[in-house]
Amino acid sequence: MNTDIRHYPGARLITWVFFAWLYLPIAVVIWFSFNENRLVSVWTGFSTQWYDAALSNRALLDALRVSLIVAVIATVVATVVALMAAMVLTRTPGLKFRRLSETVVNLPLLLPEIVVAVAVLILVSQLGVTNGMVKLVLAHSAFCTPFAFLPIRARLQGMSADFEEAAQDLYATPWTAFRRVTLPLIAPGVFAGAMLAFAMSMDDFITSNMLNSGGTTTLPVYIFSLIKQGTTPELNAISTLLIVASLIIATLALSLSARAMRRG
Amino acid sequence: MRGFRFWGLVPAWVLMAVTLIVPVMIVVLVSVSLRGPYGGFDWGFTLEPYREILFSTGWTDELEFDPKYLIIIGRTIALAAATTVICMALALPVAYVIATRGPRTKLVLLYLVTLPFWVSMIVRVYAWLIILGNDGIGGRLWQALGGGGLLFTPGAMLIGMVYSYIPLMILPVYAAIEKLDPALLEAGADLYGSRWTTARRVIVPLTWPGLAAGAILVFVPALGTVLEPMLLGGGKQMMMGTLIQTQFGGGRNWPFGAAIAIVMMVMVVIVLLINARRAIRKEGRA
Amino acid sequence: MKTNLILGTALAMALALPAHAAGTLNLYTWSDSISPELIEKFSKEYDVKVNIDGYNSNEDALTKLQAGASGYDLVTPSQHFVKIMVDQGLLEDIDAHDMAAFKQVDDKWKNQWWDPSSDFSIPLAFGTAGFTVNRDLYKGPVDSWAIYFEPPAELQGKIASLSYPDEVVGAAELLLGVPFCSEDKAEMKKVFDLLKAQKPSVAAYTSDNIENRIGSGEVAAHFWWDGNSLKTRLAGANIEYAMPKEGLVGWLDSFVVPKGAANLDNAKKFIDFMSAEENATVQYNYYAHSSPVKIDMTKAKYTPENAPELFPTVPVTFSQSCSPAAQDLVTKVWTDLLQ
Repeated sequence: MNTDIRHYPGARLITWVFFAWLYLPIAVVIWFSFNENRLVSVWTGFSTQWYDAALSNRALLDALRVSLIVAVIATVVATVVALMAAMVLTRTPGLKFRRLSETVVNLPLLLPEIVVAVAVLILVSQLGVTNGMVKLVLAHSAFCTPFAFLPIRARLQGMSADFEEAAQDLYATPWTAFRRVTLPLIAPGVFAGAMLAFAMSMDDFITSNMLNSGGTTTLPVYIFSLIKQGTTPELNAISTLLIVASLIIATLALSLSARAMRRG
Repeated sequence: MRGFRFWGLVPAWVLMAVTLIVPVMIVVLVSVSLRGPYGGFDWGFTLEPYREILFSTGWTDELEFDPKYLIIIGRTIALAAATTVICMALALPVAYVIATRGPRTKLVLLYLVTLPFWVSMIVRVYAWLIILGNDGIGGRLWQALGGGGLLFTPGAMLIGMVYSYIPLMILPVYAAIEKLDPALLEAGADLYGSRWTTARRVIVPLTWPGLAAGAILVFVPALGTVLEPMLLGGGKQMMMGTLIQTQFGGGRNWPFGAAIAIVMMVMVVIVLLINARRAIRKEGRA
Repeated sequence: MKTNLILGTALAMALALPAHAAGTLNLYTWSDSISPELIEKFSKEYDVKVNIDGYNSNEDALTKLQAGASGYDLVTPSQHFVKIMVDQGLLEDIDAHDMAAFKQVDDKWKNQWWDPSSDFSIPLAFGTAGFTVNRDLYKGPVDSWAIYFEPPAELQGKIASLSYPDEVVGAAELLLGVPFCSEDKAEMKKVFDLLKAQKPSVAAYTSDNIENRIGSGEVAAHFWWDGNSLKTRLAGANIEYAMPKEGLVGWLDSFVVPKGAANLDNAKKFIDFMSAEENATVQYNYYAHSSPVKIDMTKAKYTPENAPELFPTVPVTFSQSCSPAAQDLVTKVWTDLLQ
């Protein structure tokens, strides 16, 4: 029996059960992707045919492309916007309307997505915006911003401003000081924020479903249409491929940020 | 950073104004507009959509108080609240265990918490559809324990919702626990002599900001949820999210859908105000 | 960090480069309703890049068009929604009666009430909505809607309905002898009472993933469409599409062009292409719903012998465009039911 005061009997058990529960659906998705039967939940035999089907599915690849473009642009926009806002909010003493500005940056977290989706749909229809990509990028940039903002601000808050002040004395221009000193120091926060924003954009369904139009179906919207019409294990195969891709990206991201942290 | 200052906030303000503030104002306007005969709306002013929330013409043609939308609103709040509480109860021990590991393990465990959320939410919900079905592992387990069908029950919906939103709770709670000074825990242990009292008197109060942040991050999207009630709940009972969607679709009553959206927003604002007041009171005491 | 972003953007741009094509065509159709083989063929023949988005209810399509600026060139709503879209001025007049495709259309589908002078639409497919039972789980008769709405003990708790009222309310009206789109509150109250009494027996109101739910036996009876039931049965599921004596609810989907479509010419080319006899046959074999245009019967996969689903032996009543008052009653039935 562990007598350490910080040890809570049961907490570890809960954690183990929690992780099992967390990964159960992932395991199920992967398992049934090898099902030969057209009906997903009735196992009849092993087959990899659904992977062939998924990889030669043009609509799927199109949707994946749309999702990636939207996610990359939205991530860049959101990260830049969030970084600028975070710099001002943490580095300006006596800033007016600080609380209000913070609330505005975090607004997407505070409004139910369905409300925002409906609102944006009405707005773009009033403005007559037809380009589906523009609609998606705008909306995604907005709701990704707080996810980029929170980790960046946390990192900035945890860092003393002394370095920057010294650097400003040294380099004279604030921009150089920012580039040479601040940015490398907060890189893990920026990275974490960008990753979160990217994941949120890739995962979004409610907004994208409301806004999608000719040729701009995102992956989640496409997947939803598959679920609606009755799914084959092709959906599981798609998901498994996505899981593997995420695993690779996330592992890369993790090792990169771990390295950055050691340097920082 | 003199160079930034005010201008650094301009992009954020502009982005949010274009994509959120203006659209939400339009929703307010639509909610008092006239409905089009086959959907859509015509600009105008009427409080009809709001009246409709409480009163509707019954089967006998007279205007009567009709609690059905209040029931839907109440049910939505209850489900979102239950999701939030379960997430809190789960996140506390899990985040604690993670936060007390070594630096490497910590990082790996955090990574493991976030990894499933790279998988599309729809796919995750749909996996639960298979698990909780009569032939699924969860469904069978539940039947072995003496339960009936699990899929298409409020329980199934709750499992799906907790699953969807748990990382939004774990991450802030973890951040709060990480900041805890081990010395405080030891002092608590010396003072109270028991782990559980320490947990109750020291850990929970000190991690409260993290729990509160997580609660908002979970509660708000849970209010507007659409997928879980539809896929796991079997759509037998409407939620506010599905109600809004219905009004913009088959109900062909956009102003009413907008009015419900406004009600939902007001509820969120109330929760935020309560939270802000609590934070201010705390600051006052400190 | 910055180089990462630039790399990422470059990667995305590379992926973004569209396949070279002279034109574009944005389709908004029922999910999975158009043969991919034909899309491929059309793309090659006319050098047009075709994008397809799917919807799963007529209401979704109507809402998209009403919101305006949908960006779609071709939509395939059912007859009662074609009428609403025409009345609301949401469609382009494409002089359908002058198109090559029109000559292929069976006479009984020309100049119908939803498009009296055939200006706006060319039909694509038609069929019925009814219910399907899993024969492993339910052995009893399926000759009446009463089996579905007032289920015997073995079906209780094992019934699934749809998530929107459109055809379900229609079917209930058939059983009760209430006319479609009734504006009579007393009649609609009867419909409500029937559905309310059925509710305890209903496992789920859901329009998605039906094939899996009924095929795997998660439920024993499901509201469904003829062709989908046929396809699943031929794939090996032990199911039967019911022929209730009160009749089935009929639908006919047509190609229409939303107002202001950017690629109107391509849209018309696509309609003509899809209606050519050879292609219509391929489409019929893929979609498994009846074809309103001429097909090559020698190459048709589904015949009255192997596909009784498509050749109903009971009357078929087509859904109507309800007046706003009647539609409000339908909505009231549904929200009161699911409150």
